Amino acid sequence: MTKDLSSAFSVPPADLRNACDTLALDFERSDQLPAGKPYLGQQRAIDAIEFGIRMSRDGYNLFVLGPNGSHRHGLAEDLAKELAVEKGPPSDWCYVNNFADPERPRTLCFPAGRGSEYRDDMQDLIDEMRIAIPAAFDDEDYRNQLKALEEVTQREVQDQWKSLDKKAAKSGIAVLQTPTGVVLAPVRDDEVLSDQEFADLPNGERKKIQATIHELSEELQARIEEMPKLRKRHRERVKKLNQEVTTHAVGVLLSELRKKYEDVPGVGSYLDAVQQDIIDNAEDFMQSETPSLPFLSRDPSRLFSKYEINLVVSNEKDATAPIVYETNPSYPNIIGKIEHRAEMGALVTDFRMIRSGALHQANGGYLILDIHRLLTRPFVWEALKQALFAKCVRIESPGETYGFVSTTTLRPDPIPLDIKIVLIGERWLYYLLSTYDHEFNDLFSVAADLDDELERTDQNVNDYALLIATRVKDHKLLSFSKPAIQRVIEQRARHAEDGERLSMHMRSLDDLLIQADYWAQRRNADTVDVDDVVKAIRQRDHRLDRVQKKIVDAIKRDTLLIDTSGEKVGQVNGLSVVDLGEFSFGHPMRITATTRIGTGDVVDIEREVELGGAIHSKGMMILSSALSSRYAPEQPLSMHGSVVFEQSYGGVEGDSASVAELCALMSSLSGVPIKQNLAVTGSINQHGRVQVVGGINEKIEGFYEVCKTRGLDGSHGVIIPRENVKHLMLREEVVEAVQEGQFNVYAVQNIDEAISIITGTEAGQRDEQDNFPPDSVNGKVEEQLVRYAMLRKKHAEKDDEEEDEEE
Amino acid sequence: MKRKMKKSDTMRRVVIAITESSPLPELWREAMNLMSESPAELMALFMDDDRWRRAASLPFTREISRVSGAAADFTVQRAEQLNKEAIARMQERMQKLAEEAKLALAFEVLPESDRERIEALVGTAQNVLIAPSVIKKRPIYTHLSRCDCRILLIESHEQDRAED
Repeated sequence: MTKDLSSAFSVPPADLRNACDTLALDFERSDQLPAGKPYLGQQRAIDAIEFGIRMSRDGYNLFVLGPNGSHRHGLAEDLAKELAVEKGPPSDWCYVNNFADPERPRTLCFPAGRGSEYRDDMQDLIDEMRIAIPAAFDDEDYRNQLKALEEVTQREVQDQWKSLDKKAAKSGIAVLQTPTGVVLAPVRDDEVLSDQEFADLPNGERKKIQATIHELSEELQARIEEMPKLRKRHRERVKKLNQEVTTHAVGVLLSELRKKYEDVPGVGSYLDAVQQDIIDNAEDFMQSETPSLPFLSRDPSRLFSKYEINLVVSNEKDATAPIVYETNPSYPNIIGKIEHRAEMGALVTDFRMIRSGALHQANGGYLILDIHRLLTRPFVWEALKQALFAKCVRIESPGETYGFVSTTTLRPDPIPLDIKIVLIGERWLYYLLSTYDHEFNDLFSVAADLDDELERTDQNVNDYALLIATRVKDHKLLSFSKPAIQRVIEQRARHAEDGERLSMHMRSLDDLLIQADYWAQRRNADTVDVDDVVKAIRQRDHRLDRVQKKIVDAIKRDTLLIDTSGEKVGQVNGLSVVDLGEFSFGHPMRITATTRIGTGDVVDIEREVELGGAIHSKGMMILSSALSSRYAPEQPLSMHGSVVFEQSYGGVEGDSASVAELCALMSSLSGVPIKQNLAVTGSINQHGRVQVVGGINEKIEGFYEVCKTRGLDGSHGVIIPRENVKHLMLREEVVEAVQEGQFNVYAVQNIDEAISIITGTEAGQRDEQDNFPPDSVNGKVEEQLVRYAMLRKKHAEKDDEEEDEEE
Repeated sequence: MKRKMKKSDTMRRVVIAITESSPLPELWREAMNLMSESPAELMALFMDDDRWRRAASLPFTREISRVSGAAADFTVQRAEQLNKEAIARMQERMQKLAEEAKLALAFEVLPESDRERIEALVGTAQNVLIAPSVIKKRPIYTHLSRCDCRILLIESHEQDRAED
């Protein structure tokens, strides 16, 4: 391999970074630009959301798929707002007492805006009743009527006693009162007879007295038994009077309300129930004496609380359909809840303690929820599906449903549901639910899949510049200069890991703009310039690159062994990427291979110790297959090879090192050394074709960093798959190093090109006799494999002879 | 409320005659009215009639409950117990009223049959006897009405109910 040959694979500096120099817009500062499309490149998602929102059939709820920071919420909310205007405000809902069964509060539905009006009217009614009813009972007329009733009853009672008393007196019997009862005794001259006086009476008279007393006793008992009936009759008369008084006091007030709300279904019957309850419980409204025990006293305001209105959903008359984004989708926040209060050691509740959830608030409109949060809150997902299937929302405690709570609670009437749910989440959650939740697709038929990237056409670049200008305005940042915007666009391509694409991840774009604005403000500038953008990028990397610096330092101090000069047989510099979430970086890794005679297996040590992932193992198997198919296809592959990532103590995943691994094996087999000033990345297929890998920019920059610390001499470089060239968006520093001949990037299409560059020796092509040139790498590999095959055959024959001799 | 009153120039003693079911608040109120006009010695006289005991001595006497109408033997022990309880209850109530009014009160219990001692306590013209109107039905009233003392009879519905 000559310098000229490797030069043929060199990637020209212009291809190392797709600079943004095609921005056709004529402006100097971003504030001169008009507003851009708010959701550039998301037409598919926009169409899907509009379709989902407009579709009124059951089950056409939405799932907006996209990564965090892609402004999924903003897109869904903005579109919902546009369409919410077309829909009118939904109904108001309130819970009222069910006088027949207080544990099952009933609902009343009002046109938007009238719910609060009705609540206020009922409150006014209560306030008036609170005064009017006690006043009616305090009225002189009432007291006179009550007194008359009491006198009637008293007279009835007295008549009972007096008539008995007279009857007894006529018979010479006294009726004596004791604290608890009555005693009948014979009298003479107003004196009760003693036992001696009674004994002195003639026998006939004694018998007569006893008979009279016996008869009077029976009559007395009969009259005593009548007393409760008299008292009951009195109570009934008083109750009737109280009802008449109450009816008169509240009748007028209620009839006014009845008339006002005669067009609202259910209100009339509810007011009838209110009136009946007030009449039935009229005595409760009388001002009673303070009880002897303070805790037995009743709060007079509570007497009327059962007529209050619990307005759970209230809308403005001229409002649009509601759009609710519930950031904490817990069960109570979504479904609603029934609160309790402690009273004398017990938890009690009533219809006034019913609290609505987001489903109620968004009823008739749109409810936006984060699916990840939803799924991590207990019971909510199932409850939400249940509500959507049943088309109504029923408030009940999950604790009660699962039998955890035995406190008295309510079973409020369900409220009909007409709602569009918009779930926001990452793709994997959508696919997971779609696959494993058999009800999911019945309820969420519309997927709005946000694009991560935008094709970097001239038009799209212009639109992207307008988008940047819009976001700058939205965030009230300093105006960006044209070069600054161009630099931002380049960074967005880097974020997309593709020189021909632009990232649509909006949060990272906003972060870059805000941080560039910060650095511009730090230098008291009135415009964000390209240096501010560069500084923002570098400072961000600097804040996050601790691990990267540690690795580079370890390589520099030879703690982590990486050669960047010289040549070694069976040793190659591979490249790996470490992903730390918001930050990723590449660094070289030494890959070594050893070979000897064997049975055709290539051992992946990473896999053997279970540090290699499935894709890595797959890559190893593919390279084994590539090796056996390329060389001596008519001979059994009689080698044993082992490949390892040196000084790797964590897991290894991906197949991007398979080209490097094959190079190491070929070097080991052929004895041709590998240049250590080069690193290689790429995956390989069974035919030796080099395929694209991810993180290409980070990998190149990772090796560049290591070489730079040791001193660049123009020999250093990285071999990458040709198809990765379009992904290149290298840092300016690397591009400049390449321009100055200090660093190289080679792009290859197959293993022959890679091995030629990395060994500096011709890979070699088969001639007409199907042989590789003997001095080529391929020729030496094949020669060694043939030698292994013959040796293996010899060993096999020798073993057979020994077995025959033993027999 | 006032049924009968004999006038006298001066007042030495106010005697409140009480029985087992007397309307104490009304009797007390009347006594206080008098005392406010002219200070005098205050005495409560429980006139213990033996009608319960006499009735209880008869072998066939039964007490019929006002609440349930159930009948039970009315024994002498029961009569004695009721009498003691009635005296104690009345004494306690009278003492409480006197304490509240910050007045000294003498409490005497005399059998109705002991007419001489009763007359000695209330019989002079300077004394006033305040008694429930039902006393008119008792034999002692005949004797009291012949005395020189002023007699104020107090009537109440509660008492009527109990006595009637």
